Amino acid sequence: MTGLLAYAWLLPLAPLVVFAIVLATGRKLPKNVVAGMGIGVMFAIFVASMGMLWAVAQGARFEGSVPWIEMKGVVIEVGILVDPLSVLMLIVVSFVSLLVQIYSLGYMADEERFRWYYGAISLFTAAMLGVVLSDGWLLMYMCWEIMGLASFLLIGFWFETEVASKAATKAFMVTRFGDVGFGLALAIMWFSAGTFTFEAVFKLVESGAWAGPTLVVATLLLFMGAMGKSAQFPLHVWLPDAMAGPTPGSALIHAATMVAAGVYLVARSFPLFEANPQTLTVVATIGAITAVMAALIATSVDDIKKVLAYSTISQLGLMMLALGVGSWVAAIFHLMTHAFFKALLFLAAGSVIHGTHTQDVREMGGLWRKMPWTTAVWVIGALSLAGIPPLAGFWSKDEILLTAFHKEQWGFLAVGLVVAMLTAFYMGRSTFLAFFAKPGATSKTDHAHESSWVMLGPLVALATITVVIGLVNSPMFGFAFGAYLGEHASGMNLSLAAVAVGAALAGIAYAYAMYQRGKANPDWYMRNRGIAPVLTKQFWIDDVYQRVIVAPTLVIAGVFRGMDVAVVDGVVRGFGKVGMVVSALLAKFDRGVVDGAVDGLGNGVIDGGRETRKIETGNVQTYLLLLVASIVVLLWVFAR
Amino acid sequence: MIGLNHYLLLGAALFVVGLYGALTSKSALRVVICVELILNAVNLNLAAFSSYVAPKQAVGMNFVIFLMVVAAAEIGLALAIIISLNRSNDIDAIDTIRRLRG
Amino acid sequence: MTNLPVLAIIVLAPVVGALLIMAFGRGQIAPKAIALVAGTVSLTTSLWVFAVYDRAAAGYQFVTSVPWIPSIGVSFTLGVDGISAPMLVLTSLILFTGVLVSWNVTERPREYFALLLLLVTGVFGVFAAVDAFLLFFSYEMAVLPMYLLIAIWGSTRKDYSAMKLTLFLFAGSAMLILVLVLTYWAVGANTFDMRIWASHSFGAVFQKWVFLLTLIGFGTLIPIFPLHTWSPDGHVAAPTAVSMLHAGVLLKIGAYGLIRLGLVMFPLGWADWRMALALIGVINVVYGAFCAMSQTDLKYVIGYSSVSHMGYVILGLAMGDRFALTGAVFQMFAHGIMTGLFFALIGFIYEQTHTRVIADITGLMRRTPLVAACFVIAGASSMGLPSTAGFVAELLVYVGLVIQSPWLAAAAFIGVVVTAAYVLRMLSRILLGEPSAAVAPIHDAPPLRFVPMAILAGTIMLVGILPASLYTIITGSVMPIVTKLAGG
Repeated sequence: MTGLLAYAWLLPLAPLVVFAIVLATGRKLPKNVVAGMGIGVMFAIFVASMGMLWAVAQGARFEGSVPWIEMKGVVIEVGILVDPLSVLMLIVVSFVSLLVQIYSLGYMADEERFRWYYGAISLFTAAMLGVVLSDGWLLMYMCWEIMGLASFLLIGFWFETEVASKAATKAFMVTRFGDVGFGLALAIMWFSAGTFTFEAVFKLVESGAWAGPTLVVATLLLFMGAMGKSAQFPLHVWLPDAMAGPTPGSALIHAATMVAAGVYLVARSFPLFEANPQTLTVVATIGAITAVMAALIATSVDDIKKVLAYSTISQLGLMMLALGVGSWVAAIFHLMTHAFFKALLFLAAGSVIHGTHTQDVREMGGLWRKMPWTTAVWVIGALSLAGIPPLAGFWSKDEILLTAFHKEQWGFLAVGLVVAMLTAFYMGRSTFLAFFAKPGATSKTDHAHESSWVMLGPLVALATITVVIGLVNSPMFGFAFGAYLGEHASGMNLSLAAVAVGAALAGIAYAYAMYQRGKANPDWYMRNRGIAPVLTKQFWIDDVYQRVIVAPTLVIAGVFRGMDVAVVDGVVRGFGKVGMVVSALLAKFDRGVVDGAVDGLGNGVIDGGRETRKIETGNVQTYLLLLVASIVVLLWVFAR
Repeated sequence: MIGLNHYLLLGAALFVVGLYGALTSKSALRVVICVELILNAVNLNLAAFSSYVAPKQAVGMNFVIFLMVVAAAEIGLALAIIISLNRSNDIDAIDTIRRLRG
Repeated sequence: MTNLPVLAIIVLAPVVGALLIMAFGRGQIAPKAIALVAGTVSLTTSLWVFAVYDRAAAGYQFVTSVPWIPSIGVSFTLGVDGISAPMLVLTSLILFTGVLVSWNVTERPREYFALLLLLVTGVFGVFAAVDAFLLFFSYEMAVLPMYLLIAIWGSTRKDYSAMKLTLFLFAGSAMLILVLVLTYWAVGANTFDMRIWASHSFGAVFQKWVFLLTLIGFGTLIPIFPLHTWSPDGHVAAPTAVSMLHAGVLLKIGAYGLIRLGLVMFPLGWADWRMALALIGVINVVYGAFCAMSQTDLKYVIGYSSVSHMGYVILGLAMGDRFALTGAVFQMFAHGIMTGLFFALIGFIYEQTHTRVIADITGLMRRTPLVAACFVIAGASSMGLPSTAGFVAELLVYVGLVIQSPWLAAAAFIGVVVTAAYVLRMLSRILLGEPSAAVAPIHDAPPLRFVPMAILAGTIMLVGILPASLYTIITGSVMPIVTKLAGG
């Protein structure tokens, strides 16, 4: 079975071949054949990954590389590494991708560019598999960028609409900004360590051969790449807009896998970060800010996909926080559970959108009668995200809180608890509004219908996983997950777990009181106007906020929402504006001064010619006179 | 005794008269005649120098004869141009012809 | 190795082609067919040279020599090393695809293709020359056809641009004549053979000033800031194939000449001016990118992007270590292919829609998916995305740059971000969205037009994914130069 590992390099190539076939054949193949290829290949990869899991769990590992560039002592290699972490990621990616592709059979059935969609999904999966399999940062970076390209293609899937094309461009641009850091980190790594391979660099760092400022800068730059991809503050602005793409694509790329690549990058490079406590503090702080900010924003968003998008940002922040306080296993565990239940939530949201043709929770309500299956799986996903036992989210979130607790990072522990409560609240809010509250006046649920089984099947599968997967790192199975990744389990603290669950229940209860018992209107931040002066100001912001206008504010949700649009996004746009102004000025300078000097030279010659040509009158006698005069002058000059 | 200087003076006089005429005449025909005068002034100089500087070799005389032939050809050509100008434009005034203008 | 004068075949095939076209090229098809045959001969031969070049031995290979003007020591000596071999491949690729791209030229095809081939002969001559006089002679030979091609077959402000280009290039070559004569006398060996010149050690003061002359002379051609303004105008005015040659190959002559005559001959002079050169490189990168961003004409965007991308070549030359210098030559190749592809694509779009204004073109992805895919590949290379040739080149230059001057690297990185911005902005505007009025009626590239695009796009990907072959051939010949620059 270990022999299988040596063939792991085939895994990313298979979907790439599918992509190539789609590119080459265009519309010639029947839709079902294209989808069948994608699903079949993904199923095979999933099965192979399970086989690898079996081998790896028994201690097998594989690393193999080929020279990419080789000359006179300089060898740059690219290769694959199969170890517990990469196999785990393989399974997550291939499984989610498989289910998403099956689900898309129903969801995308009427799309004109159905085949292209499958091609792009395959391209993305190939790149993502490449990222998790690579044995060094160079190959990882290459696949990382292809992943970005695939993300660009999927966000811009409906490229005819302005929203989609702008969102695609923005997503690529913002992540590319982070990737610049990644690229620079590569350059620093090359001259400091002389290699891009994980193992070799880790050895150098452990032995102290590579230390000092270059290492600090390199880790910070690597983290910059992770921030872009994992939508960390302040580079998170692209992710909510990225929801313009098809929902299953969002589920795969912008919820489960690609956005987690930043977390994976940091986890993979963890020995580097571990050697730099200051970088870890930065990571944890950025994670904490992101988690709280995004959670607050999520409480005030009405687009069901955007709620999930902000929730994803918040959860990714939580993973970064886990990494920052020093537990990459907790981060990866949460990454895995989050991948499953967030994909579940996204696909369920897709089912809702498919059934109601709206994304606004205020236009839904009472869906549980019309879409019972969707409601059931959504609730499982939402409870898991809220951290209610025994669902997956509870275990992984508990792990993160526990790490902070053990490391005595009280500030970060408090952040974790606040986020847990906020998460429960906003999930409760959208759940009650969309599924359980009575439909409001603006409701569009009259013609809502349950989705077909091709869409429900993957949902049920994911819901089942969500119920059971958290147990792999529970006392019941002896914290098998931590052991598998080679780290000692940190155990379980019942009182801490109780506090966390209490916070979550409080959040749900408040949401219940607010949105199920009361009407959805006015929303929570509006209702609190009379109670707390701080929240009164929030209302003032909400006025602006409802028109989606930039507004700075003292009230936190408003502040962050305002910041999202005005400051962070504004800086990006501002840079663009400044860039445009500067470039316009430079272009003028180019035309006026630099070019002017050259034109001046040419014009001088032309003008001179124009003046001299007046002598040529065409009159023969004038010429003759000039001739004689010239001779006289010459004689006078030379014959004197 | 008539010496070299007399011939040269006559030649210079002829040349100046010819030049003046060529520069000032309006009629193209007169310009051509004046150019002939200039040519003959040169011929005169050549013949004079020839007989005074190298009387036995008569090199200059060859030049004179050669120049006469050239002058005859030139006259033919010039007259042809003038006639054709006259025919096409019905003009003779040389200062109105400005086709050479750049 | 063989006795067959392969380099002479590469260089002379276009000349023979040009003569045949002038003799027999009547009608519309004959000139194109002859040009295509000549291009194929050059392409296959230069690929063969590239393949069998002995990477371990490096140095000049395939040398053939015929006396030309013995009295002053000029000889017709051809040879290639690891720097010129990729350039020959680049030139012949651009020639081959350029001929295919020009298949629709109907105005005086005979003269057009004859001049095109003549131009390429000059370029081949520059890259294959071992004799400095031959190098210079070939360079001059390339300029004149360029002027005629732009002035007769060009578009937008063609007279102005053609004249501007020619003036600049002649001003540059005036400097080069001076360099040639001064160096010839300084060596005093009655020869123009660059191998002998390179082994001569010149005085420090002499090196300082002659290197400056070389820098200005060839720098005009690269083009270095602030001598670059002829270049975007020239790109825009030229017909498609000439734009391809101009941006893809002609600019490389500048960098190539600077390596051959500047770095190799005058290492001390290089040391005097390298920081200035590096600064110019950064300005080129950043300034060019900003200028490209504010352009509205597709060709101008690419024209200024060339200024920006050639900045990396300048930076690589200024750094002069094994990575940066290899990266510079790599970038010369990568940029040549990439710009060639861009101009081929824009040429096709212009031919179909009769506009190059970005605002008038949207939704290409819907109407012409193949062309759009090629646009994406060229754009990816332009942004330096991995798995394209541009990535390898920029990575190498940056590795060299970060080691020697982190601040310059940081400054140049502004250029990377701006580049991503303008390329993305351009691509998303013209590719995405509903087809505009100009785009709506057009159809995707027919096979004949798609073949050159596919060749160039394929080359970008191939070199980006498997850079080893190109890397080794370049670095083998770069190493002696690096040693020399380091003072060894």
